Formats: sequence, C-alpha cells, structure tokens
Amino acid sequence: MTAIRKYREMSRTQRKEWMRELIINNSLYVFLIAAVVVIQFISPNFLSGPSIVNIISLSAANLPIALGIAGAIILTGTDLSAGRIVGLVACVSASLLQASGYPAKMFPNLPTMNFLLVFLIALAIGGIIGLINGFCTAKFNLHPFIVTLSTQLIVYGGLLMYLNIGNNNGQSISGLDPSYTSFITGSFISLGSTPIPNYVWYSLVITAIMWFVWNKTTFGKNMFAVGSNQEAANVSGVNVKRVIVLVFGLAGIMYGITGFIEAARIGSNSAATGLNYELDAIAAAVIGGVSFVGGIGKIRGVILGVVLLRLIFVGLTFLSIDANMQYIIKGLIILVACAIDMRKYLVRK
Amino acid sequence: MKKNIYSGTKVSVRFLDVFIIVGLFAIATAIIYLSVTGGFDISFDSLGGSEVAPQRLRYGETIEEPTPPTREGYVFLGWYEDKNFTKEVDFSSAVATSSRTVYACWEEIE
Amino acid sequence: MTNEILLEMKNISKSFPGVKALDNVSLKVRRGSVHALMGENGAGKSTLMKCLFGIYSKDTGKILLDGKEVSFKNPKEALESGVAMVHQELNQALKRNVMDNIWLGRYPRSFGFVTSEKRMYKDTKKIFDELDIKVDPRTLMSKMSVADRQMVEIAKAVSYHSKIIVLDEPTSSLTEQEVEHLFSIINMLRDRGCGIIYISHKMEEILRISDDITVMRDGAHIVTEPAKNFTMDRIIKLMVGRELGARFPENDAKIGEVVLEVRGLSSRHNAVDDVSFKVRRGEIVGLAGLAGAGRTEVIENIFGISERKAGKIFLHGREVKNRNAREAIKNGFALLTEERRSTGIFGILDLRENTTVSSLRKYRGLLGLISEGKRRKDTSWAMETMRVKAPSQRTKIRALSGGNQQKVILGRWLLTEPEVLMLDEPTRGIDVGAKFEIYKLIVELAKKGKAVIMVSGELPELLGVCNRICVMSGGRLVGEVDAKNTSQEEIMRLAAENA
Repeated sequence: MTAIRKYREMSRTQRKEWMRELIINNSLYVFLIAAVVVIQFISPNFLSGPSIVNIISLSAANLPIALGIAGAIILTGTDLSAGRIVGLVACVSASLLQASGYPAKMFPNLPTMNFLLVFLIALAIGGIIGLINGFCTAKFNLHPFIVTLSTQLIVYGGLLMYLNIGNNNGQSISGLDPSYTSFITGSFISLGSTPIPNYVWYSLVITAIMWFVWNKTTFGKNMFAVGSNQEAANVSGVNVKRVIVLVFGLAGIMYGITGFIEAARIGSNSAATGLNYELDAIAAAVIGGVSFVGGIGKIRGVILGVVLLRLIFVGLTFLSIDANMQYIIKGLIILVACAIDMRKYLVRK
Repeated sequence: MKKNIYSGTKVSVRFLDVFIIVGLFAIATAIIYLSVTGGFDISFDSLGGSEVAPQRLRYGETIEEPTPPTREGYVFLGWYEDKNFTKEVDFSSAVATSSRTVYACWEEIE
Repeated sequence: MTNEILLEMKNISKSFPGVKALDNVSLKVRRGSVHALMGENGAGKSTLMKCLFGIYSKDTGKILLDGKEVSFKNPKEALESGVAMVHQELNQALKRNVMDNIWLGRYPRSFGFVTSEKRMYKDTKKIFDELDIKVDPRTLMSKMSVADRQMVEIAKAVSYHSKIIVLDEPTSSLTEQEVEHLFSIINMLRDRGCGIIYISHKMEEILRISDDITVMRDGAHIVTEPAKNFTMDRIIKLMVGRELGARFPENDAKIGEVVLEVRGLSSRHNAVDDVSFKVRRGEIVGLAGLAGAGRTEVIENIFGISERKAGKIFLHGREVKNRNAREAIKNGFALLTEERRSTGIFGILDLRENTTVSSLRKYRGLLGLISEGKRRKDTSWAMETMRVKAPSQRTKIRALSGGNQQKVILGRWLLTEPEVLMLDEPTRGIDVGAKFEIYKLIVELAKKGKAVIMVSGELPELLGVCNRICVMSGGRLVGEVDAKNTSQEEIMRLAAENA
C-alpha cells in the first residue's frame, strides 16, 4: 500500500529513476528467466516432469550449504572452508555407513551403525570446525577469508589422511548401507512417474528452521546488527564475539547436514567430494540478494539464488555445454551479480 | 556509511550500469557460442587394450557401442561406468548427458 | 568593487532521502568583493558549496559564472574554470614540497615530458612575491605551519587565475598576526577583481572584512545585504531564528541524591588522568574542554568500551565494574556515541531494529522466539516519547534526518531503562530546530530522575542546558563550575590552561 502511495507522490524524474533502478537491480533475474524460457523452447524436455524433479532435488541438496554461508556473508565475511567440510563429513559418514557385506568396506569390523548417530557425528564435525573458524575470527580479529582459507587446507589434509586409514587406501568410499541411502534418496511421493527424493523434504525443514533463526531469535537479530555495524552493535550491548563464533558454528552445522545428505546422494565419495562447493553457495547467496556490504539478506533470496543457479546449469547441459565450459558462464554470472550488489551500495551513498 | 568491502571504490554508478549490461550480453554470447560449439566427450578407457576413439555427442544423442577393443591374453567382458565395474553400460539406452569416461573390463584367459 | 555580478547561483535546491538540504537558495557574488556566507551547522552552507563544485549534483537551479551558465562535474573542472576552494582541512600532499603541491597535475615541462624545476620555482616565487608570502617554494609541506600551508593553498588558487575563491573557516587555526596577513592578501585579491566567498563563524572578522553578508538557515536563504547593514546581534538572530534567550528550554528538574560517583579514573596513555566527580539524580553535568582533553575517553571508560587502568565507579554507593558494554547496560548505564553514523545507527536496518537492538531480551517469548507485538509497542512508545518524525517503524533509519536519527538512538537507550545517561555531542550535525527539541528531551529525562552527563564542544549549549560543568584539560579535571554563574571565557580559560 505504501509503495503505491510513494509512487503517486513521486515526480516525473523520480519515477524515471525508480524505474531505472528497478530494471537494473533485477536485470539478472530477468535475464536468467528469459534464458530458461529460451532453453525450454529449444529443448522441450528441459522442464519436463523428471527434469524438474531433478532440478528441485539438486537445489535442495545445495540449499543448506548456501544458507550456512549466507550467514557468514551477512557478517561481512566469507567461508572458504565450506566445500571441504562437506567433503570431510560426507566421507566420514559414508565410511561409517557402508553396507555390512561390502567387500571394499573401510572398517570391515564395524557393525551397522544407527544412522541417526552418524548424523549427530556429522553435525558435530561440521559444527566444531565452524566454531573454530568463528573463534579464530572473533578472538584474534582475523578476517574470515584468512581463517577459512587455512581451515580449508587443513580439513582437506585431514580428509586425505582419513581416506587412508582402515581398509581404504585412498579409494572412493561407496557401497553404502541401503537403509541409509533409502532414508536419504528414497521417496514416498512422486511427481507423475518421477519419485521425489526424501532429502528435498529434509532440506525444506532445515530452511524453515533457518528462517526462524534469522527472523525470530535474538541471535538472528544480533547477526544482522553485527553485520550492519559491528562497532555500533558492541556499544549497544551485543556480545559481538559470541555472535561471530555462533554464526560460523551454525554454518558448520549446515555444512555437516549437507555432507551427510551428499554422501548418500552421490553414492561414491572421495577426496574430491565437496571441491568448490562454496563457490556455488556464495554465488547463489549473492544472486539472491545477500550483500557483501553486510547486514543484508533474506531466506527467500537465498532460495531464489540456489534455484535460479541450478535451473541455468541444468539448462546449459541441455544445450550440450559440458561442465568445464559451464565455469565460464558461472564466472560471468557471479561478476554481474557482484556488480549489481556494488551498484546498490553506491547508489545509496 | 561504515567501512566495508566497497568503501573507497572509485567506480561510478554509470560505469556499473554499462558493466552490467555488457556483462549480460557477454553471458548471452558465451552461452550461444558454447552451445553451438559444445558437446560432451564420451571417452573409452580400454585399460590396457587397443585404443578406442572417443565420441563427441550433443545432449540426448545415443552413445554408439564401439567395436570391442582387443587385448593380448584377455577376453573383453564389456564397458562399465566405474573402475570397480559395478554398473555395466547399456548401449540400448545410453544417452549423452555429460562428459564421462567408461572403462573396459577384462578377464584373463587361463 | 563593482555591481557587476561575477558568480550567480540561482534557485538551487537539493534533497537527500528524507531531508531537504537546500530550498531554492540564491547567491550573487559581485566582482571584486568579499561575500560572507553565514549560518549554523546544517544551515546548508557547505551543501551549497558542494553543489557549486560539483561534489553534489543539484536538483534544480542554475549557476552562472561571468554571465555564462556552468555545471562543474568535479572540483578539478571548477578549478580549471577559475573557481577554487581553500578547505578547512587542507588536502595537501604533505610529503612533497610547496612547488609540487601548487603545480600538481600541470607541471611545467621542458622537452615535452621532463618537468622543469627551474620554471616551477620561478613561477611559484612570482606568485609568492605578489602576495607577499615569505616561504621558500622548496620547503617540505609537512615542515610548515598550518598558516603557511593555507597561504600555499591560496597561492595555488591564484596560480589558476581563479576568479572565485571560497575560503572555508580560514582563521580557525591562525594567530592574530597571521590573520592580518591573510586579510591583506584577501584585500589584494579583492582589488584585482576576484570574488571571495568567506565562510566563518567568527563574527567580528566577518563584519570587518566582508562587503556583503548572506545568512542561511535550515537550508533556506534568509537575507543578503551589504555588511554595513548588520550588527552581531542581528546576524545571530537571523542565524538562529529566534531570540537568543529562547534557544534553550527551562531546566527546572529537581536534583536529588548522588547517583553516580567516579573516583580516580585513569586510562591508558593518560588520556584520562585521575578524574573524579559525582552526578546527582535529575542533574545534567556538562563535560567541557578542548579536543583531545579526554572528555569522550572519560565516558567511554565509565561505560566500559575503553580500557580502564585505575579508578572505581559507584552507582548508588555500590561499586560497579562495567567491564564491557553489556555489563554497563545491565548496570543501568547508557552511552550515546559521538559519531552516530559510524558507531550509533545500523544504517541498513529499519527503525524498529534500531530502537530495540539493546533490549532484545525483553521480547523473548515461547521457545526464546521474539514476539513482534511487544517490540512494536515499545518502538511506538520510544518514537512517541522522542517525537521522532518518520512514516513508519519499517522505514530505514538512513532515510531520516540527523536529528531524527539521534532521537531514535536516544529512544533505544531509554528502552534499556538506564539510571545514568551519557551523551557525547548529542546535537552535532543537527539543524537548529531539532537541537532545541533534543535539549527539551534531555531536560525531560533529567526531570524523570535520570543522571545525565553531556559532552559538548559548543559552550553555549553547555551553559544553556547543564546544571554543572566539569572542565577537562590534558586528561585531568581542572575545574567544576556552576552553569548559571560562569561564562564562556572562564571555561575556555580553564580548558586552555594545561592544553
């Protein structure tokens, strides 16, 4: 209502300005949607039932990590260790949940473990590494870029070492316990003839919980305050150090969830699992309106960013552009998204 | 505004407008170009046997079963998706959806 | 001096989101004259100049130089067209010498690209001799006094054959002798036909040196007349808009028992050195002193965001540690910081967030989730009590004027229900109208029984609002005076003693 009133009160030049801002700020969305429409026209199978389920599934798999990293970006930071943490958690979870008769099992004498227990282990690993990231950033006042860069390498090293223990000699871990895989990738609802994997629902639940955390808890409000103006937050009585530690810790937990799901989703996990996942997550967050300036971000934006990104990349596949070439497009999209973000900031000044 | 990653940038809004528009054009051009020249490379790793030529296919095209490779002292069992030979490639339905490598499975002749 | 108009700014308006900074302002500067531009902080003087130099783009209006319309995109363009500015905070390359600074960007060359030092020296010396500036062009800028550096800046403007020279608070750091020298240069430039725009708060100087005076107030042009039509009183009245006496509200708060006692407060590096004082319920204590005397450090120390080396703080007789902001707030302290833009407001967030950030724990309901209803009510209360003018609670705080932003932050602190309210320059950068409202609010808070400490660099403000004024100098408390029985001179004398 107020938007309509504001529009009527604007002068002609102001309306032109407003239109121009609206068009440029949303140009990337319009472009991507137009591209999707064109691709659908060229290759009608793109938005068919099975394909859409595939896109939704891929988006759901990428949502938790994007939500976790969005928190770090809101704090004006970043988290380069996200991907490797996902990889580590995926391999550990997979190694603990291999089928009992599997010949190349990593821990041959390990009984079938309760996967809820392994889930908690996954959360713990992600959470602890996240807390370490947050602690180093808060206590020593280091920029998260430096801290998470180091964490990324240390985690990767740890992962390589882990893959050599037990009966595994650096090979990929597969042959997972069927009850685990069906819990994650099985389904009880189908769209037409295509089953919707269970992890889509888990992902939605996680997203809903994050929405509450961001918007309805003191912690969430403090996160935005610290991201918006750290000094003012300190003077206003917010425990800035604790907020930073907890935001990174929460991000770590989200990476743990992602890893636990990935392990079953991919089926075969190795040291390469998780490589560069954070790039997609950061790109999705920025496209969805989470600003590098800090203090700005919405859950629905992150969801939009993740879905749009997946749509485009599945679409590019339909255009026969292979994965390596897709990096070029990905880079260009990120560049334009950052330019739009920077522009929004400069216009405000 | 407080100091942040964009503080001190000496870029004008007009420049960014142009940059964004050029960027979008670049993305469109890149997509068109890569799409036209694009394709997936299906490689056949014969793991010690005779060389088999890779196939370059567009999305959705069926993968042709190549002539089986030969290897001294081994009999060819078939093409598999992975090195652990858990999933055999079914050429009646195999369709190019990404670049990948399939592996030859051999059995030693006694 | 002629009646020929050298520079005319016609009907200039400029708005920022939520604020009309300039409202149809016009300015006419005659050839060969000194035109003073006067007004309180926030009256629009610097905004008008920024529109002239292209730092801001004006919304409406025209600028005519020598009859021709101009629209400079940046100060460099303005300088090349003959309009120069000598800033209050000089933008000079201190590590280079005088010649380099003057000829920056247009070094005289021989052979096309080699800079000719000899020519630079000669050209510089010529200008200096004309203006009777006794400085060696090869001197390093950092080794020169502020007065001499200012001279260099003026010489630079002259070297560009500037027709219009704007001087922004030129005498704030000059001795009497240096002021005389500056005035003789100004007279020389005036005789040559330059138009000088002189911005200053020092009324005696203005009445001495100017030919015309323009007074601005609240972004609007009030009056322009020849200087001989003005007296100091008339200028003040025009600047402030009301009788001097009614600038401050009446403070009849009842003063009760001692609420806060500070004993032997010292911080690192002696920014605060053994400071002790008491504040009573309902009392407004002012903290005066020159820049660097330690006033902000004292209240930051009490609040816990600066480290204390020694000293104790007593609230109602009980010692409190205030080791950090959270503890201080819990103990009933509040601190309104000096720079609201960098340490006060959360620019991106809206009014509700900004108001409730310090008291979020009051709104936790089921499962620890925040209940919006109570938050909305408290924000309404704060906005009403502080008389914040804004369309809704969801408005972004950066859309508000400085005065309203300050009120929002005051409201934020009120919600924490403090006993001791510490304000650091509460009316800095706020227009005169809003200043009065904030004084009223402060007095009302005192009447409600709060103990208030107010740091300010504007002595009239302290004298008008406070009950008592503590004067600081060099980190130490050098005097305590009763606001009703003292004068600006006495406070300045105490403040300058050990500076």
